[in-house]
Amino acid sequence: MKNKSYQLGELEELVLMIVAILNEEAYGVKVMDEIQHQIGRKVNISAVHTVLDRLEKKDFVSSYMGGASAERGGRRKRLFRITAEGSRAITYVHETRNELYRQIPKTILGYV
Amino acid sequence: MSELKPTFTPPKSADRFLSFFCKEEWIEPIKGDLFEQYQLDRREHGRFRSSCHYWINTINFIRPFALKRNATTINHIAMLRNILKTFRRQLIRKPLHHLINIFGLAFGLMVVFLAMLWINYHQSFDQFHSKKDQIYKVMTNRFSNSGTQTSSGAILEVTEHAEQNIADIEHVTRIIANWRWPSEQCFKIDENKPCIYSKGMFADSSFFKVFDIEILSGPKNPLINPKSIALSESVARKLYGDINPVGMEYLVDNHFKVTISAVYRDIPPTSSLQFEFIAPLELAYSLWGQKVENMKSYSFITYMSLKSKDHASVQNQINGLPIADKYENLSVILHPLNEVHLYNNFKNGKATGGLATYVQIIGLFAIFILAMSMANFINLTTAQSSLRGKEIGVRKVNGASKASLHFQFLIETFLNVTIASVLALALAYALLPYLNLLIGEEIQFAPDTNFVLKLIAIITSTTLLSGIYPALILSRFNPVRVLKNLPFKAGGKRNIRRWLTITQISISGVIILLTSVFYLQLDYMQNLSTGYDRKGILVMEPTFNHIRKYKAFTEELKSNPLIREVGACNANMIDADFITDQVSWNGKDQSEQVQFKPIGAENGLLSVFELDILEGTYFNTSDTSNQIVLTESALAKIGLKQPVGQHIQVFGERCRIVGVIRDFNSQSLHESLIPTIIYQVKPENTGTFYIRYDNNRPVESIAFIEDVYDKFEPFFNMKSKILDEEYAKLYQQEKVISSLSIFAMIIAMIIATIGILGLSTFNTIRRFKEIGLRKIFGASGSQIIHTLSKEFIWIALIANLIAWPLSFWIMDYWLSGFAYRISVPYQIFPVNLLLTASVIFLLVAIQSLRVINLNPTEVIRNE
Repeated sequence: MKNKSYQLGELEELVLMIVAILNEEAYGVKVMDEIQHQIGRKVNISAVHTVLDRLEKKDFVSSYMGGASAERGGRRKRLFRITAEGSRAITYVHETRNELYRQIPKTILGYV
Repeated sequence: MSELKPTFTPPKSADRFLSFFCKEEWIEPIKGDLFEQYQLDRREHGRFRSSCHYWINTINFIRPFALKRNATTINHIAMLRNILKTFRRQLIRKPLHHLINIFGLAFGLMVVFLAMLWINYHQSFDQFHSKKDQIYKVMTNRFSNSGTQTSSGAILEVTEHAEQNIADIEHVTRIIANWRWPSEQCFKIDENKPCIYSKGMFADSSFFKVFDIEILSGPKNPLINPKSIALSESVARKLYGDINPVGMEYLVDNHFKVTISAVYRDIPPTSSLQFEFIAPLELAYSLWGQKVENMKSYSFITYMSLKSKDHASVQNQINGLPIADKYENLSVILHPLNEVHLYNNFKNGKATGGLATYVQIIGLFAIFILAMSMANFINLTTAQSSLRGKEIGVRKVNGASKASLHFQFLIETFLNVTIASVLALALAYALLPYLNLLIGEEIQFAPDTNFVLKLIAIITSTTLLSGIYPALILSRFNPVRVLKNLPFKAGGKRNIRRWLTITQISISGVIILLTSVFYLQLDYMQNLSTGYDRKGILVMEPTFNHIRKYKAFTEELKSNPLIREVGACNANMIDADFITDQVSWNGKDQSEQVQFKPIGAENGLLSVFELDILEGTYFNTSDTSNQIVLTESALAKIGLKQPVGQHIQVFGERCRIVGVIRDFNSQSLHESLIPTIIYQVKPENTGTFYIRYDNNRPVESIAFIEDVYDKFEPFFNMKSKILDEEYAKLYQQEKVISSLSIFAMIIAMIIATIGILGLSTFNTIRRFKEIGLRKIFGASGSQIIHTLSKEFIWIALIANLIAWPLSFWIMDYWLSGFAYRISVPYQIFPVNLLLTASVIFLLVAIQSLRVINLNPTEVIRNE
């Protein structure tokens, strides 16, 4: 596990997780809304797209064109799904964080 | 999802903007997301706020991932190679067309390069001094009722007080130069060798602190010892060869012993101060036999270096010194060293240009000519564009975008411009020596970084200005029409080409008109009657021995019939620069300042110049009283009724008026004439001899004068000038501008000819069929010429109407700088029209002959 490391930016990590959560329903605006609802953070729509594009280039997500809807003025969505590589990345990040968290002396956490 | 909500329409312009920059694959999902967002916004906010938000979101998508990348698929190198190959093939297939195109540009660029070198040369004057921005030339304004005169000196006393009392002044240096003697010295170390005449200066020891002069050998400041002299490298070499003369003794004027204190590097030609030797001021005083105390009220060429940048305040401080009150009609002005060379004309006490005006005019000419050759290029390229229809059609069918065609044609233009620039540089390099010869300057072809940068800028701007329009026209062809051999619109708008030709002809018209005015004004000044016959007068510099034995010298000369008259005076007769207001007479209004040019002369001088006597006589040699001769205009100022026999005061001395002479010119005609008075002096007090000889046998006469000279002065060689040549030198600047503009005019005419030729060739080819039909219906040769040239006559007329006011305005501005000027010669305007019209007609007629002799069936048949 340690021999391959995944480097993810903070927003990248967030978006990747949301894509995984939304499971086949992830697209620009939806991801943006999810971030706002779950974490309460306002992200610009173009920033979300930039991150999605970057994740796709890193092969963590893949995209396909979905169906059109009236809400979107008849335009199709670009839907994202997490790839195997993407889930490995998430797991890796998650485990390393947990491992680090575990090493923090309990006393310190208690006092904070 | 299923419930129907009203949909709002987001701003369409933002969508269009998105499509403009965004990658195809991203447009749809982005638009969809933005739309969704917009709907949400509209439910909460108003239309305006949502629209703004929509726009901001759209603009936010200008991010690398979303941008169009249309070039990623094109192989640039291969494309470039293809363009080069096409360009080479074009060159081979149509060499004449390309040669005309390239040479047209090359001529224009050559003029620009030469003008750049010339302007650069004049702008680089005095720029090598490290303190150049702090150095000022101290000049003097002299007020009088007839206006303000500016002279290039300052009174010693005033500058001394300024130096002592004004803290902002760092150094002051006073200079004696431009006197024939002692600033022109005969250097001789070997009895048997002829003199080496050198022009030099005498200066304060602070001279080397103000100016950067590179000392090759000797101390940093070689003027500290009053009995010393510093020589330039070339003078030292001429005199002593390879031996270093520093420390050696030298006899100035063969009797005054000084030490050679230093050798300095030759002064570059781009210095307004030129000197082949420099010695302390004290040496000049000794040579003159003057004491320093007696020189206080004399005027010296003076330079100052200031500690502060505020020269206006220093100027006011100097004029506010108590000592300045002593010279109430004078005020000092500080003229920046950076402007000394370019701004050398003064009017009403202010620098008004001079050379700077010429720099502007030449720069304007160069830009004009480049514009002409660019117009040419555009015209010829677009006119010939129909020939490339097939190539463009094929390129388009194979998927070339407009942008890549623009790129191709811009590259082609760039190649043309580059070839033309190389050619122009070579031409400029080859022509520069002749140009230098023509204008008597020493411009070097030394491209520095500045020149290279300008070159790059010129190539780039020429490429863009002359390449964009043809590129737009050429890439516009409809490939279907071209390839199916259907008629297609080629060559762009005819009107644009017409206007380009009009521009060309009007520019060449302006240049021709201005050149004629320059020439006429120069001719006017050089041939304006000076009041005496300038031909056949030798200006000789006497030595002490000649002056001492003046009478014997004169008699010896006159014993030969070749020599008509000999005279002597203390001024430069063609450019007397001394002005005084110390003339008074009975009934003079004492509050009035009237200026005169006093010339102290010995009697023979009046005879040498054959000045017309109107009343009375020349000086009476037997009479020992102070005598004076007035010119007409001086008499008019003084206003005496019966002048002869009356007395006036000059420099406080009572002088008897013995005669009145007709006015003559004793100065250049840039400034208005100041009345001249000639007072009698003894030969011992003169500095220059004027000798009138037989102008039919000048060589013999001058050789004879030289023999007599040597008889009286064994040590020195004769130093002489011919008056008429010196007179012409007064108008050197005008001669330069006249020569340069004639040169510019020739180039402009060549380019205009190429332009007309190009356009008429195109027009004729385009109208082959029409002409054929006309011939079939019985049109005669002259009728066809008329049809073809009709358009051009209009062009000539409009071009002239544009050129006339423009050139009139420049002419009037230029002429207003002269005190003696021609009025604007209106006749040259119609002459120019006639000239352009007939040249155009001739060129078109020659073109038409080709068509006239054509068999009409040949053109009609090829349907």
